[in-house]
Amino acid sequence: MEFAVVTRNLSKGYDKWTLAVDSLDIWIRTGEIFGLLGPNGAGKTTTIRMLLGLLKPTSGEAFIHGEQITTGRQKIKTRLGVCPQETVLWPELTVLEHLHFVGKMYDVSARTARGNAENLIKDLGLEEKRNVQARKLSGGLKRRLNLALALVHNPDVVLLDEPSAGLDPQSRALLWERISELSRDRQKTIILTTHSMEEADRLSDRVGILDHGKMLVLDTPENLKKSIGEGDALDIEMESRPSETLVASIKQSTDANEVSVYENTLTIRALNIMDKFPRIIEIFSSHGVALTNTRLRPNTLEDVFLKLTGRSLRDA
Amino acid sequence: MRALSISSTVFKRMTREFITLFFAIIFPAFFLFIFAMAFGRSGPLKNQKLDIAVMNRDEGVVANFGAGPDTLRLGVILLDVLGSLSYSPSSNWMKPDSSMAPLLDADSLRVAGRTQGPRRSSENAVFSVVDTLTEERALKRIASGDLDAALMIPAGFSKATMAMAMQNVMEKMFTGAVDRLSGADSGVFKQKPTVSDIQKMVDDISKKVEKKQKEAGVSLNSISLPSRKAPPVTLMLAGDPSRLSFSMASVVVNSVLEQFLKRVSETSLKKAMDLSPIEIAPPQELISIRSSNIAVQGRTVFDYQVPGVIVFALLMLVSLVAINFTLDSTHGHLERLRLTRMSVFDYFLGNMLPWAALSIAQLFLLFGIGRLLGYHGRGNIFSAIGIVALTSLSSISLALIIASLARNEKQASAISTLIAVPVSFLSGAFFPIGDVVIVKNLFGRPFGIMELSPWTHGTKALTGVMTFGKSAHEVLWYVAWQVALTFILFLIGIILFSKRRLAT
Repeated sequence: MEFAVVTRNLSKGYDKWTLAVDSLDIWIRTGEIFGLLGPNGAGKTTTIRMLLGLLKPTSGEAFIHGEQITTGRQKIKTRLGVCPQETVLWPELTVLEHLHFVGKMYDVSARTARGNAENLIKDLGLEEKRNVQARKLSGGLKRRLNLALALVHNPDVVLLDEPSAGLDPQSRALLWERISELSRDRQKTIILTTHSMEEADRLSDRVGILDHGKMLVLDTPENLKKSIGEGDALDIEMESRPSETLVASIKQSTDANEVSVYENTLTIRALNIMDKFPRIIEIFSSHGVALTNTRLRPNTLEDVFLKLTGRSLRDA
Repeated sequence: MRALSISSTVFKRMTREFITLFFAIIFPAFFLFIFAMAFGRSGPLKNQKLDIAVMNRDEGVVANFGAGPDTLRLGVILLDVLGSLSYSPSSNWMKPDSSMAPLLDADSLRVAGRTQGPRRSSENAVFSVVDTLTEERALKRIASGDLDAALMIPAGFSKATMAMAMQNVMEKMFTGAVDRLSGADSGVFKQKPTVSDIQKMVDDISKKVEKKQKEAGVSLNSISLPSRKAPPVTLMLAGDPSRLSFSMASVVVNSVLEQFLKRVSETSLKKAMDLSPIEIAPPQELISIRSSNIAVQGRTVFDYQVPGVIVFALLMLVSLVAINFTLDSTHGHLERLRLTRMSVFDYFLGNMLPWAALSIAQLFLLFGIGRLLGYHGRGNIFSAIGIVALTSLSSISLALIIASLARNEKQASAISTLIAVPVSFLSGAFFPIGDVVIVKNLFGRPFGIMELSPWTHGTKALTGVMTFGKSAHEVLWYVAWQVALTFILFLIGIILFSKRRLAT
């Protein structure tokens, strides 16, 4: 099996005491969508910047299609496309001028650049805006153009840094569809950094969860969710943090795979949880605790992160 | 190819951004317009008109040149001359109005009974003459800045002037008679004259006197020339010495007075000669006010300022280029481009080319506007283009240094302005600036502290080429310094920017 991206013990420290990325080992297959999940400051962007050659690793090595990032950077450049978190556009240039300009900077011939630009404009729904200056585009259209610039030179590996941040639902849906197509139809390898569990879950073939520079787990979203228990999760909110005796009673009475507490929310994970719901209500009544809200949901990557770190991804 | 793509993008950005066009083109052009108004020959303000108050106490002098007694009021005539003095439409230097000649000819000396000079307010007039009845009022108006100067003509002005003129007449006539008698001027007597020779000459003179009397219709006995003796008088010119306008008024009034006295003397002599039986050579033509200024005719202060404003425009580029480089860093453009196959060379060359092109466009545009406003540009345009390109490189280098240090575009703009504006003044872009000499003799020349600035040399070289029409060889000293200093600045800029903005 061919790996598009490989890192071995990749580390980056900005000072002597802390490592932003700590001994990262990743193998990403060609055509795979790899989700790098983690809270702010987990080391996602530092990892991406090292892969792009914008930061020198403190130790370890990384390869893109067999080329080491430190020595083969010029060769790697044309095989890598990046869509940064912030839209990086030239406000005075039109959509078409952006695509032609960036294409030329990757040494793409004028004819190919024109062809690629036309395809991307069509695929990303920018036809009517082709001659509009970037400063006059809406936020969603700017994000689409930002993505188009990552693809104009037809790279093998595409790094998408928080691609759907700040997008409206319609643009996000379109973006997700395009990302899936890139992998499915064009065999592009995609590295997706996000702190949206839903995005990572929906798009990624495999997900790696980073925290404090370390890779905590790396597997398919399904396996990760299964790892914290079968069945569904029931979230029960109350006015105050539940007592230890209440938690113990519920554990004993419901035969739950897991009962966890996060602030005022009690999460019970078990098979056929709805069958056990009346018994749970009884226990709450016997302890004199009033429920303020309940929610039944399947397991998410958020639960995985919560289990691994003891804190919510949103709060991390 | 990649560098050209970057140039094309930078060019599109600069031409689509109003602020860039404003600071690069409109702002310097506006400066040029202001300077043309203030120092050039064109525009609504033209030359500065000086407000002068006059207090004419002159009582005149009675004289009879054979046509009856007249009161000559030379104070009035002097004011006429001052009032009629105008800037020449073909040059920026003042000249007496054409009416000065008749005012001072023999007939005009009979301006009897007039107490005030003409009050013409020509657009080109040097003075706006206003009457002020009291000295106290004039001084108050000077103190309040309403007046540039006040001139007080004393009571005995005409008497003193005519006395001086008569002394001159007598001296000339006496010299003429002696020359004639001795034959020194025409060689009448080829050897030592005898008594009969002198008698013959006296008879000849008597006949001529008789003839002159008949022609003039007057009797020599009726002629009453003004006295050759009069108490000395002093004309008072008051003003605020801290004001440039007073200095200008003082120079002009002194010059006019000097010419006036010469003309009165000359006219009096001519009048006396008309009545004199003795033929003497006409007086030599005296120097006029206009001819005294011919040495600087045709060049204005504005002519020195046009190259300076071009250098100022190039210094304004510092801010624009620094903002551009800083934006590239802070807005992720530079990072995005670093991910492509663009090299550092591509980036610098691609960014420098459009700015250099803009600076050359500035040269042509400001030169054109300058010409429309009255600039006398000359010299080799290719030399000027070379100097402008070099000066723009100096500005780009400084911008690179600023962009390396600034945290954001606002800081880059503020630092650029803080540096560029004082440098433009200290480089002599607007006015010549006295420099502090740090090396007394460097290759035969003194070297000042501001000569460490490439823009100082740029200003001197460009002024030399454009205004004085010097060849590239003649401004080589400045160009050589500019090349050396720009190279140092460029090197610092490239190293700093590479280390701070391009390092991984």
